[in-house]
Order: sequence, then C-alpha cells, then structure tokens
Amino acid sequence: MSSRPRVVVTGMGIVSAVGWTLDDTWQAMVQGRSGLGTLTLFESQRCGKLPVGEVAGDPALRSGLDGGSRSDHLAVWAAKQAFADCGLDGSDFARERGSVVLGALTGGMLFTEEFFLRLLREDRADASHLAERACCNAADRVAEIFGLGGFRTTLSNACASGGAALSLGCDLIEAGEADVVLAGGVDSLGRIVLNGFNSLMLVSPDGCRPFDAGRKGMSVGEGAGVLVLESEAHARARGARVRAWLAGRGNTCDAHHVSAPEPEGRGLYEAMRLALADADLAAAAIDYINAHGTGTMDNDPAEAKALRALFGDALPAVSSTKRFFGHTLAAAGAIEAIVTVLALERQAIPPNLGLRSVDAKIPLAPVAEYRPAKLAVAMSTSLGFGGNNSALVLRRPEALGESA
Amino acid sequence: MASLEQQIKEKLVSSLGLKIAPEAIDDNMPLFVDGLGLDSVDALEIAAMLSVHFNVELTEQDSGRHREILASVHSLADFVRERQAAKP
Amino acid sequence: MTAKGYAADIVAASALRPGSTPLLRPAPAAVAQGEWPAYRLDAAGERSLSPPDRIKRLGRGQAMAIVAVKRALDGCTASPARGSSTAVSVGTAWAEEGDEITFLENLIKLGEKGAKPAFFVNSVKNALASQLALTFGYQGENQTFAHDALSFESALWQGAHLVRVGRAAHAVVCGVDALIELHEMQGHLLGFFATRPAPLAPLAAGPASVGQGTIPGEGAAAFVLTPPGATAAPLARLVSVRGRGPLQRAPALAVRDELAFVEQGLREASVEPDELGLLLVGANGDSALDAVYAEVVQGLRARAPGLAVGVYRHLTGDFPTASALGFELAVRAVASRTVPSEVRRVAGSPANIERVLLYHLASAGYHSTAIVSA
Repeated sequence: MSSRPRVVVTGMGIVSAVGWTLDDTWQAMVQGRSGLGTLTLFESQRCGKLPVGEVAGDPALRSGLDGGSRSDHLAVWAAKQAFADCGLDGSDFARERGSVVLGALTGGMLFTEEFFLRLLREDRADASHLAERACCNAADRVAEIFGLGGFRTTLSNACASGGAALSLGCDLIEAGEADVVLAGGVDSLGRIVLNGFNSLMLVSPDGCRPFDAGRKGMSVGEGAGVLVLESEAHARARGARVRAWLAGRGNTCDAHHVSAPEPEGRGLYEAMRLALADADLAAAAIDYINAHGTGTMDNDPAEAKALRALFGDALPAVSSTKRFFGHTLAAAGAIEAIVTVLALERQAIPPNLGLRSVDAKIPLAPVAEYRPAKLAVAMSTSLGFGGNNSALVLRRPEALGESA
Repeated sequence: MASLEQQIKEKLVSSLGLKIAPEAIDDNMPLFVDGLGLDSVDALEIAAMLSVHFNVELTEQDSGRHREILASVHSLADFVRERQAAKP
Repeated sequence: MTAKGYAADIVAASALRPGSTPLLRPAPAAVAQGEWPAYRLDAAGERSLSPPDRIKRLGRGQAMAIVAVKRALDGCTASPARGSSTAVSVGTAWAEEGDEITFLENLIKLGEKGAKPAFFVNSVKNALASQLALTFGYQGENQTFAHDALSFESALWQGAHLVRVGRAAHAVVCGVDALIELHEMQGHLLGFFATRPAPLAPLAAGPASVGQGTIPGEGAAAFVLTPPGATAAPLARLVSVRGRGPLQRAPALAVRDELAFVEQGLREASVEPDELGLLLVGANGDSALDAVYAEVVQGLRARAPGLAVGVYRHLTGDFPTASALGFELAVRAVASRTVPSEVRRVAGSPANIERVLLYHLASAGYHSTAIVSA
C-alpha cells in the first residue's frame, strides 16, 4: 500500500461523568453504571430536572491550572494523564515538533453567560473573565504546559469535532508536520448549550437510551478526552508502549440540513466507507462499532441505516456508550475513541446502556450487556450539527507487525 | 388594534428574521416546505414565539397535530384563539 | 509543508472588505461613554449580505462567507463540483457569536421559554462551514478552525493538505469574522482597542503612528485550491503556510525570536529572502506591536535590501482572520506581478513580483508566515 507513516496511540487521558481516569471509566462500563445525574453546576427552571452528564468534583481543583474556564481545566487534566501515560514526560523529544489539536465548542461559555447576566441585570460590565471565553484557550494551555511549539489549532465541528481532531492529528503526522500530537476534544456544560438542545426538543427527560424503542432524546454531557498520536517509527524509536493503531479515518458532510442528519445516513455511510478504504480493510474486518447513538429520534435510525448499508447482514457488534456520560459534544469523538481502544485492550464490548428493547424500525441489535469478546478491529463514529460525519478505524497493536 | 393574523405575521417576521414584509404573507400561504420554505427548526422557533408573545404552549398532547397547527398563519391564529378561549 | 514543490494551486480568490474608514457606533452605556470606531461593512457590503431571492435569515458570518465564496466562484474557470470531491475549510474565531448572544440575551430577558432554537443552531461554530456546504452542495470534508489569529492559517494548511494527498479535488478555504458588540466590549475593556476614530496607520512614521491600541474590523476572503500542477494557469501557487502559538500567556514579544521564526519559514520552504518580491505584514497600528514589526522588517531587509514591504490593515481593521484578506492581496500581487494599489508600501520599490511572503504577529503571541508564488 502507500508508504505513509502509520499512526499509533501511545497515551490516553479522560474525564467525564463516570470518572476521572481510564480505569474509572472502564469500571463503569463493566458495572453498567451510568454517570447521568442531576444538574448542580447552575440553576435552571426548565432544564433543572433533565439528567445530564456532569463531571463530579471541581475540575479547577484538579487541573493544577491557574485560572481558566471549566473547559480549560477538563482539557488540561486529560492532557496531563495522556502525557504521563505515553511516557514522554521528562523525555527528550523535539518539543517544537509537538502539536496540540483539540475539538471544542463551548470553551468559556459559562464566563460569557456570567458577563451578560451581570450586564443585563445589574447594568455592570465585569471584564474579569472575558479573556478566558475563547474555545482555543484549552489547546493553548495544554501546549504551554508541555512546551509544545508545533502546529496548534482548535477544531469546532460541533459534535464531530473530537473525531475530526484525531483525523487532523493523523494528517499532521503523515505530512511530517509533527512527530507527536496531543489530539482530542473537550466541552463543558452551560446554560446556552443545555437550553439550546432543550429548545430543539432533543433532550430526554429520563436519560438517553440509544436505539431504544422508548427513547426520548439525548442527554447533554461534558468532559475531555486526549490521545497521544505518533508515527509508529517515532514510537518504536523511543521504546514507547503502543496502545492502538489508528489505521483509518473518514470525514464527510451531508449538506442536507443545519441540524438534522440526512435520514438515510448517506454521509455517515461514506465516512465509514472512506475510513475502511483508508485502513485498507473490508467491512467484514470490523469486530465492534462504538456508535454515535445519541438517543434522539432522528440520529439513531439514520445511523442504523448507514450501518446496514455498509455491513449488510454481517453487522458487527454495536453499542452506543452515551448513557454512561451523556453526549459530551466536541469531546465525544475523543472520549469514545478512548473507550474503543479500551475495548480492544480489554477484549470486551462496553454495553449499550439504557437499552430495553430496540426500536422495531431500527435494524440493529446493539449489545445490551457488558460482554467479553475477541476484538481485533473496531470503528468509532461521530455525527454533528451541520451534517458533519467522522469515522475512525482502530486496531490492536500486533496488527502493525502482521501487516508490515 | 391589529388583527390576530396581522400580529402573528409581524411576530413571524421578527422572530425568524424573515426578509419579507408581514403583509406579503398570505393568511393561507403554506409556511413549511413550499410557500415560505420554513423547516423543523423554524417550527420550534414558532412554538417559542407562541409561548413568549401569545402565551400559548404547543404541548405534548398537540404533537399529533403539529403539522396542521403550524401549516399557515390562518391555522396558527385558530390555534391561538382556541387556546386563549380555554384559559380561565 | 514539505520544502520541495508547491502545496497547492490557488485558482480563485476573493475578498469582502469593510468600508475604508472606521465607522462610529455608540458604546454601550454600561461600559463607556462616547462612540467606538470599527472597520465595519459599508452600506454596499451590508446589502450584498441579503440576496433578493432569500427570505430566511442567515447569520452575518454565514452571509459574509457565502458572498466571499460566490465572488471567488465567479472568477473561477473550473468550478468545484457539487458532491464529495469538494472540501470546505473555514477559519473563523468569531463564527456566529452574534446569534449565540441573541440566544443568551433572550434566555436572560425572557426566561428559559425565550430560548430561540434557530439561534442556538447557528451558534455552533461550524454553522458557517455547514451553510457553505448547503448553499453550494459540497459534501467533502467540512472543517471549522477557531483558534484566534491561527484560524485562517489552520484552514489553509488543511485545505492544501487535502488536495495534495488526493482527499479532495477542490478545497474551498475561507477566512471570516463578523464583528459584534461583544467583541468591541471585550477589546475595549481589556485595553486592546483605541477610541480614536482615525484610520489605522500601520508602520507609519511620525505623529500618525503614535497610539496605543488598534481598531477592530470584520470581513471575509475565500479561495479555491486544487492539487499542485492540476491547473494550467492558476492565479497563484501556495508554497507554504505555517502558524504557531506562544508558549506562555501574554508573552514578551522578542524581535530576535520573530526573525528566527520568519527565517525558519523561508528555510523550510526553500525560499531565499532575495527571491521575495514583496513582504506583506499584518501590522495593525498599535504602537507596541508596530515597533516589533518594524524591527523584524528591518532585519529581513538587511538580508534582502531590495525587498518591498507593504501593510494592509488600514483596509481591514484588526480581527483574527484579517490575515485571510492579506492573503487575497498577496494572491493578487503574484497574479498581476504588481503590488495592488490599495496596499500601502512602506519600503522598497517592487519590481516584477514573483513571490510574496506574508508575516503576521498578534499581541497574544500567535504568529504565522505564508508564501505564495506565481
């Protein structure tokens, strides 16, 4: 095939409603324990009773970061974990060839809200956190902490941002633009985002139930996922432990509607097809799919149709893990890629929590219980407002030796 | 005092930011797909507008009739009158 | 970006610029008395945002991006195809924040039942890129970059990368920022913006240059990229683009580091300073930042004495993706082999311009270089 560098995952860091570490996250999967709960971050008349994926504990106390938005703290926490995990800490690598690419939507949205609350209710302009509103601050803080002077950017592709950030990370390594990329996504809860989705009547009053016949919508969540990406050669040269091979990716745009997915899932189908082609694999090679599966009326059937179109009757095991942490928006693609890598490492399928009976109109049979399984290749998908679709193919590291 | 239909037209234009004079909207003109070409998100905007400016809510019980209620200015006005008459 | 060869062909370029002199608007009473100047779209610019055949509203940023892309396509002999072979890359730091703030203000003033769903949908930053996809039918990769003064450079890098590796036959790359009152409030409260209503005079000598702060602006520019060599006579060729961020908050800007940064950009692109016909810089009239630019320019001219230098932010005002408008001027310069008349030359007499280097430095420390050639 092509001689382009192969991209591997050497470190991961995560935080969400189910916990602050990779182990906590996986334990929740094993135990079938949802992190959805009552909103405590701010008051809301209309949204206060909607289950949300709120991170427990104050991110500002755990990040070690001096000042910044909630998103900044979450991102820094996850990045620190990932960096320690990949063993680059204290190592001598060319930091000007280290990059940061994060997906982000909300940034310092809470600060924007506070500014306008004061301005409109008290007629007072309080500048104290204005500089911390930007969604690019998280990537800047991460770069500063590790002295990474290479290519740096923030992707804001709505709910497909996390997947797109990982894809861009691969682009940077393949182009020789970076040796190490901290790629992922972050988002935090806020009044705008919670009321926004609620005003679109997309939020479930009893927590999301992906693909379920009685599903009533999504649950808004928050968190961060960061993965360390390198070329295989760079990782081997420094004796790094490889967690997974990011073997393929595909990104498309429906160009159908500003917020609703194209009902036949054509854009997602194409993204998955491109990811498989990129990985030089047939559909039959996929053992498990971590679906986007938000639990909304429109997303789930469209996604199911795309999966059926691609896999026909030979559907691999599928689950959406969104009832664990909610829809973490720009972090989702990264958090769920991490869950997918954990599934490959621990040889088990995380359950499609919240499923009671599949909607008869949805031609899927998601895995409802945690289930040990032999997994070699997996796929993770994300869809976002504006019709963005992202698909990633992840493989166990021994595949690198097999297909050299 | 402007008729209810006229008020609804004005609020449609202002809340959706439409580039059309309220008078140019015919009472029976289809609002969705054809006519004004509004979509599902606009439908939700209209529901919010009804709540804020006319104090009537499109509830879960109405969900089977959403299409009918939102079809035109005429049907919106009928719905508002029906709901306002039912209030104590 | 590899040193050998070109990154991409540029087959179309356009710009939607604000009016040429700053317009004043009353400052919000809670923040300040008096009026605030900004380079705003003039009446003709505003009119262009509302095509007569469109009833439904568009966010201002969306409308600006569409106008810029339409203009670029008008000048394009081989238009990008609808469908999955055309990618869209948008750089926008401000996106459709106006709609987000309208949503928030309604929440606060009317309570949560005042939440306006269409405005929330638009407040998601990729609303501009997805509106481009909808308007023009582009179903390829669709990416939105929102990283302050690196937003356009990120979009340009990625668009060029996609066509070069064959993931797109065309990349539509856009830099756009629509100014809203919140940005003006923020800039004035944090001390970045000046209140003098006079136009910017970047790198100007004498009294005109004395002044702290810059003046905000808004605008959009769009480009169509194809793989290098795919087009017989492109407008220009993208040689390289390189954007980097600071390693600390509020860094002290050092001329030596900036010179090294520019020189590295040239080295990586295998371009010698004396191969450049024009250096276009994003100096924005702020005296402290101008001083750094002036010394960097001096340092580069020492290496290439004939180098012509131009500034352009007197045309655009200062905003994160203003470099996209600078890029359009650079493309026009190599396409016509002359300096566009609206660029203000501050040094050198340009001969036949074959290569243009753009250099941008923001007060926050973001900096970038981009090189285009004929």
